[in-house]
Amino acid sequence: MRTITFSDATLEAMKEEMRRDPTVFVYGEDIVRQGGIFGQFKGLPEEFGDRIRDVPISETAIIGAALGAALTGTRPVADMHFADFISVAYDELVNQIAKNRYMFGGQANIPLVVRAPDGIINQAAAQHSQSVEGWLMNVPGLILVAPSSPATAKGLLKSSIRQNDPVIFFEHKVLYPQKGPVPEGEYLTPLGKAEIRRPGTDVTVVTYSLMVQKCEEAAKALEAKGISVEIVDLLTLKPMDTATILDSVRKTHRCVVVHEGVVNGGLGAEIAARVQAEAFYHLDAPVLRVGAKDVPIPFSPPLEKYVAANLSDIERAVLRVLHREA
Amino acid sequence: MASNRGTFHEALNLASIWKLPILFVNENNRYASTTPTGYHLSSARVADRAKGYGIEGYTVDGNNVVEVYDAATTLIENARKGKGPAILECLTYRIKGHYVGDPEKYRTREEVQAQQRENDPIERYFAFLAGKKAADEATLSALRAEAEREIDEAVAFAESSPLPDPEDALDDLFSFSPSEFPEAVR
Repeated sequence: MRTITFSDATLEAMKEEMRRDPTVFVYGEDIVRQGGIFGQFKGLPEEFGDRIRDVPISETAIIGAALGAALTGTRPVADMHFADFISVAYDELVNQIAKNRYMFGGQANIPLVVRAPDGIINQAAAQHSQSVEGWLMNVPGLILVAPSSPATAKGLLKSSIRQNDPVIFFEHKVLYPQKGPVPEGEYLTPLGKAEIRRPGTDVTVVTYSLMVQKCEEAAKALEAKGISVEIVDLLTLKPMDTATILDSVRKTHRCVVVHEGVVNGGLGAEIAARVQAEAFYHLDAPVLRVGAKDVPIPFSPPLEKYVAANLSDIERAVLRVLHREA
Repeated sequence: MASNRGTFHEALNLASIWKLPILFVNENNRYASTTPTGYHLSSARVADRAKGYGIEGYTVDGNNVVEVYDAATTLIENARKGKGPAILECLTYRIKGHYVGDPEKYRTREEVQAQQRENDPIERYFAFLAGKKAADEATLSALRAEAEREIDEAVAFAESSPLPDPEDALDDLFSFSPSEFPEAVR
């Protein structure tokens, strides 16, 4: 299979969907003239003209206008530049977009995608490094998606654009230049379905986004110690594919949740709660969580490294649920 | 329209640079919840803010039906001709409280009563039509009766409609039904 970058995979998804449906359009800061900071919009202006637009630094207007555009029959894709900036348009997203269909009795669909580049990269510091899915998990009415590879990025972005509901599409900034196998031609990756990234028998590791590959690295290291790790790649964070998590835990009897974002009040808490509620008697150890410490992501390289979860944190958590010493 | 929120200003700027066919109608009812315009508005009029965004802004007597109609017609035609957005500020008055049970300590009963007595847009329009001899008393009474009947029917319909099934609370959030994907509304 050919290999292309994550960034190019999203670009292919955009092109295919924009060719397929003339109501799809995309707008955001620095995307026409600059092609996006990661090159993820290069070539779209040449083919699609004003269906790709630069906008002022006005996140509230960007997100607010997406709702209007979606309600009036188009499929907007709004690029947030950095997921952190969602906070600027929080009211539009949480109080308008997420609730509009419900409050008006389902009179209109809201097919829109907010592309949200997130995560720690190159000392981007506290306001440009966050994983913000935890902010939105608690909001009914949003679909949250987080691809982990070029192949899943393409298939999930296409599904997100075709979905008749608001989707927040988290793209880890570290993933953009990474290459991976991507099938030729059109395909869709279904929303709401997790994938078993690596089959195993001893411990279930539930993870998503960039952390999938960190967990794969950890799993390889642990394999040398005779430990078989099964990795569940969530892909859609909300609605979550709880069944796949539970099936895996019922098999391995142990569960560790790994995400880059802050542990406190994060996705891991929700997953741990579901696992203990529905598979308690299958568990041989408490469910553990691995993620960032409860402070902003610092600029200073050694501080940043200290705050973020690393490979040995993952390995240690896996060993702990096996009641083994690190 | 909460014209002191950033949303208003971002929308005006974006609409202006893209020359979007939008008429921003500001219903200026003189109070931001409980705070009077004189305190919270930095410009004399909301419409003055149009200047900062390179668009037209007009203020009309919002309780004068004809004035609102004429101004809106012109501005909508302009927008359709590609002249871009505009602000139409309609000066009006909020007769009721900001919410049910509002003690309305921020204004006097006399102020409200005077507005109700002298500034009711329907009464003013009826007086205008009668003055112009555009409609006789019988036509105006018939119009009034028809409107009142329509409202009464709507109220009766609402009051006689059954309450929803509790499980309906899970409907309409997403484009798919909860039974298709129960995980989405668990």
